[in-house]
Amino acid sequence: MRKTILMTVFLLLVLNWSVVGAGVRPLILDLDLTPGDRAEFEITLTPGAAEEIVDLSFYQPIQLLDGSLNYLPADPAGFPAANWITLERNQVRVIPGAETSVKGTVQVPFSAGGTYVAVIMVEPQTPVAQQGITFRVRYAIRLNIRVNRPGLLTTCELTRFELVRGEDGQPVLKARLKNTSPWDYLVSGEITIRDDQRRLVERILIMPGALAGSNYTSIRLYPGFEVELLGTVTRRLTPGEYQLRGFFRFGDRGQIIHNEVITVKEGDFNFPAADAIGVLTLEPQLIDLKLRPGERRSQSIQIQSEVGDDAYIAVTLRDVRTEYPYSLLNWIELRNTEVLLRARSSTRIPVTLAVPRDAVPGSYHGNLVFLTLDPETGKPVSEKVVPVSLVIGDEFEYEVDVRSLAAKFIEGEGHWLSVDLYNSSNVMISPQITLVIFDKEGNYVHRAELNLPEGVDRILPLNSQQLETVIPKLENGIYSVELEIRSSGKQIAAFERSLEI
Amino acid sequence: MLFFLFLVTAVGFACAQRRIIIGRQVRIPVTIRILPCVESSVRGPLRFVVPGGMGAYREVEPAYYVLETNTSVQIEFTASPVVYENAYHTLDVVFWVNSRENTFTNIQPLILRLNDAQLFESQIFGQVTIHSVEAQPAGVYHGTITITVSPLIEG
Repeated sequence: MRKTILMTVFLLLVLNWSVVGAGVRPLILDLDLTPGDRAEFEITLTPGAAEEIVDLSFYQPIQLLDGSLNYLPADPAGFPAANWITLERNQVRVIPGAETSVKGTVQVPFSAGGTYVAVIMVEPQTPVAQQGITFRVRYAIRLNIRVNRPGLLTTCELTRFELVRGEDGQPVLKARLKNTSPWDYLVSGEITIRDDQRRLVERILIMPGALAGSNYTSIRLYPGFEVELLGTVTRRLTPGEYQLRGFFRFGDRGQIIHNEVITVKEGDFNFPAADAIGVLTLEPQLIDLKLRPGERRSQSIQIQSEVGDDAYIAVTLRDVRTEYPYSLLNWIELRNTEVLLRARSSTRIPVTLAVPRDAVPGSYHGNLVFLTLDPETGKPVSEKVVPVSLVIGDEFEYEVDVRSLAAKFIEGEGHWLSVDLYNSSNVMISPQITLVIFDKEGNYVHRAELNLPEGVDRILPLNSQQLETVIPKLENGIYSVELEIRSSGKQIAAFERSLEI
Repeated sequence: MLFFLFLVTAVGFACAQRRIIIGRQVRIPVTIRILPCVESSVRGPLRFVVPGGMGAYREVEPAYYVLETNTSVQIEFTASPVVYENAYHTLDVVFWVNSRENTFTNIQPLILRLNDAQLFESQIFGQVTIHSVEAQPAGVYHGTITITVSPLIEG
């Protein structure tokens, strides 16, 4: 009798609940090839609890304006890359207890060149539920085929640059970049707003919607697609004239700079209430430490409430960017991660940095994030960030690279020069650049000092930053430019580049 | 004596050449590469028992979706229209993942991003709304929720 009851319960569970489960690896396949090459790849399907029939089919990615990818079944007529890829099987049986592999080949035609992206959709077959909503789980494996062909340039176009009203009437900066080249690359951007006295109002990192909430600042842009970068202005823009300067980085060596003057009129935008802008102030606003391996150091951060209501403050840690090799987050110890901050009072949060004994010389970085939580919903309403930097050691080998040099004429000012400098060393730098311009015949034309923009005083390891200056107008032509890079007064590198006006 | 002298000289020479290191730790670098991998399982279907009168009706039991990943991924939830056998009549259904903030319908997909390795456990809920009795013939309605896991478009 007991056996029968157990059997009935079991049958009911099986009839009412279907379980689908499987996995894949890898999710991205990168193939660097040349025209005419043939390459093989392998996809491994990991089993779920039950036997499954898995279909593999080709899809083509469509990049949306927010940077995310949408997938459509591949049309071989309009998507030639689908014809180059073959899979040994388009349907496999995945049995519990053993992984199943599917081999594939890519045969690149001699006429190909640039980046081709295809998606292999791995989709376990799911029987349609007799009642209710059926679930299907599928995995989109991205196949990035880069065919190296000499002479193919990386190009990008700024197709839109504007300050618009957001959903709540707040000022939103918008810029669209279009990949006009056959290559895929990373793009990122920032815009500075200056008032009519050329004083910095705000520097805003603009990002596509697909990166919202992530720790990434740049997005991969595929050939022929366009992406929209957005950033909200948090500082109040009083009526008047403002200069917007956009700096966009694309690929390893590309930059676009853009200058635009806008006029803000009364009532153009809505701004957050004054008490919502500065809910709390923090002291210190950044932590800079120099420690030895094995050393511990504690420091307090004072949080001061600027509003007449109590607020909950949550303290979290955030990396400079995802998978940052010079992260110190694992070395930070926080005793309190949530505090109740009484109206217009202050409290202290102790932060301890414990450096491991085997830490190697260099500089390490991370961020302490102070989130103000809505007392009713518990959701974050604003955040403030305290950057933490730690230097270990005294002697460092500096390595930098000038990724690009660009110039843009600004009416009434002259040529705005911008150098994108990459810090490939293991320690942060505070660079200055001396730049000497020569004409085609080697005659001296101009000398200038380039500095980090206001509000930025360092370039972290493996990060890039533009240094800029404005010089008198240059005549059209090709110039030779010598650049000397110094950090803390000491020369660390010298380069020669050409500049076309 | 001669042998002892020979031994001392040989050891001294080897130490000088760093062939023998006495009282010292030797570090052997080890590099392990773990391939990006995702695994997931779903337990469903999501069932509704709708009496037919006007009103909003919740699922009988939520469905479960679990994803294990060691890399950054995007999870997209899309729903097909929930249709009657004749395919002419559709139901007004809204689904959500874990909380009402993460809703999706047959018009609006939901995209969630997991920025690092993690175990993502979720419950999928739903609600059917009957606006008028005559618009929804009695019988069985079918629909599909598709969960697409793809690598995050990186930065």
